[in-house]
Amino acid sequence: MNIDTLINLTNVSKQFGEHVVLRQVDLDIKRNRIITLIGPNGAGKTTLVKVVLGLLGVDDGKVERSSHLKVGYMPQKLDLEPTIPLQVGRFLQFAEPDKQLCRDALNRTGILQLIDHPVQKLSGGETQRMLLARALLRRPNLLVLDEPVQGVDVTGQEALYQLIASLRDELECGIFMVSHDLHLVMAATDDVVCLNQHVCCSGSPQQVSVDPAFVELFGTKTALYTHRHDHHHDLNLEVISDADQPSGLDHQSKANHAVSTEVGSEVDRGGV
Amino acid sequence: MSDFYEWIRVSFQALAQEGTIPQAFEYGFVINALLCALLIGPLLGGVGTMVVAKRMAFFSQSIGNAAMTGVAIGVLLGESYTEPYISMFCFCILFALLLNYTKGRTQLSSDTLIGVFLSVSLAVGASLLLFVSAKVNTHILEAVLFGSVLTVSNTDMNVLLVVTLVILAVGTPLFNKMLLASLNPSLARARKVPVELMEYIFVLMITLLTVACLKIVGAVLVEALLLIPAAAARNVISSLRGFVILSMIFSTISCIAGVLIPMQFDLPLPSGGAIIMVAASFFIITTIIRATFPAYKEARN
Repeated sequence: MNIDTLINLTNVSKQFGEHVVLRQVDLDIKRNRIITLIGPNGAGKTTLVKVVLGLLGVDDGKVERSSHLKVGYMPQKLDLEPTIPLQVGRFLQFAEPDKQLCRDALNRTGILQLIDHPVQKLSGGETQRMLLARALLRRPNLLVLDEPVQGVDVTGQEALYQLIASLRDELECGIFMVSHDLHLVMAATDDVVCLNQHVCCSGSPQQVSVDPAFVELFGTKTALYTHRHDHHHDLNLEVISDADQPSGLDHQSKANHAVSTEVGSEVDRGGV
Repeated sequence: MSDFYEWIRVSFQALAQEGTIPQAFEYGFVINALLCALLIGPLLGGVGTMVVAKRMAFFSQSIGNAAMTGVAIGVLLGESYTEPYISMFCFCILFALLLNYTKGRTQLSSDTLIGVFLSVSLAVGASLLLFVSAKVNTHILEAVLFGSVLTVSNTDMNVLLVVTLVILAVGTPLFNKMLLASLNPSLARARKVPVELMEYIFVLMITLLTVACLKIVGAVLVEALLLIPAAAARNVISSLRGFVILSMIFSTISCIAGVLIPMQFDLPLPSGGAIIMVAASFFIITTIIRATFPAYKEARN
């Protein structure tokens, strides 16, 4: 096994009863790389995540884990009983009793000011940042993020993906994330694995988005659609002018949606 | 152990005769009930917060109902009708395990399933109990349903003490894990918390607690005392620690007041009923506080 490899899946298959969920899946999760798993509903994404997390055994194939592997997991959503009073700081303390470490993690994801805020009252983006902070607590070398931008608006999604990318640089960890969202993910990831029970295609976002298997699964329109804002907001929702953002479009409204006809525009977003 | 109880009783009685504490303490059974209340209060208040977190209020209600069947079976099998603990514990534990086992293996939502168990246990329990109560003292029925301080014996206190120690020994170190497992099972699993096992341990804790509290609070009302103090505390508090502590305080005061007030004013009330009424007043007061003072609304949300 390569020194940078954190988890390696070779020829992994899994079925529940008669129903085959994963068929001969290969996956190599490395340090310093962001791998994004995409695929339609029922493609086996959640099952694959469970296999990676070690919560589920496999029927066939080989799963190798690095001996230094330390996983931080961010669940898809947080469903909390509203009767239980729970503040953000206390929620993190379930995972790490040391208060200072909890503060550090919240600071890293930019929501330290919410430490005494009730968990149930957080917005979608704040909840995701709290869950991300929680996943960071044990200084993981692999972050597993299940739909990290779910319930977050588009600007918030961009900011979250930026944060995730910067975490990768800082912690030098591997990141394995699942996403439904095709557009922003393409810009935020190093590798894409397109799953539909088996791995349909994989590689860099540019390669995958023109791969016939991907196009067949998601259609050309979807694959090439990009959403663009011509401005950004700061945390107080004030508009920040963004001079170096090439727009070249008529600004009749504050936000613009543009259908790009070339794959290259996806790549442009890579710097975001 | 009974020497110790006797010593406490004698000391209290001496104080009561001197007039330092209310006259009601001249009676040994009042002191017994008070000792029980001091154990039951914090225990029900604390476990109640978890019951609320896990949305299991009606689960404990069905255990309470199952205890009636347990009493009836005990009497039929020839156990003492005032202390049929063996059959109560056995039957209730089997019932709880069966319910929890079924819960994980059915298409039904958990409130539907618990509803089924709840009504069946009530029907069987009430029928059997009425059937056997014709053979014995009918006073037992009231005592089982609504609690009675008159019947608390040394055995009851021993049972309660053992159950308290067991729950403290098991529940305290596992509190965080259990709460996490109920808040978000997938996070808990990723942290290698055995979610299923936690569930079973918690179910057994509630079962032991319900059976041990039966004499004082009554089968029908145990659930209310698990629920109301936690609900009242939630009205005015926003931190988890404060929630647990305040729930324990409310519950303890309710138990003590519920035992003492009927004695002091010579009211023929069942202790369970009185305890719940005191607890309910806490709920009403905290609801009013929350509605009146905007600061509490902010604090909560």
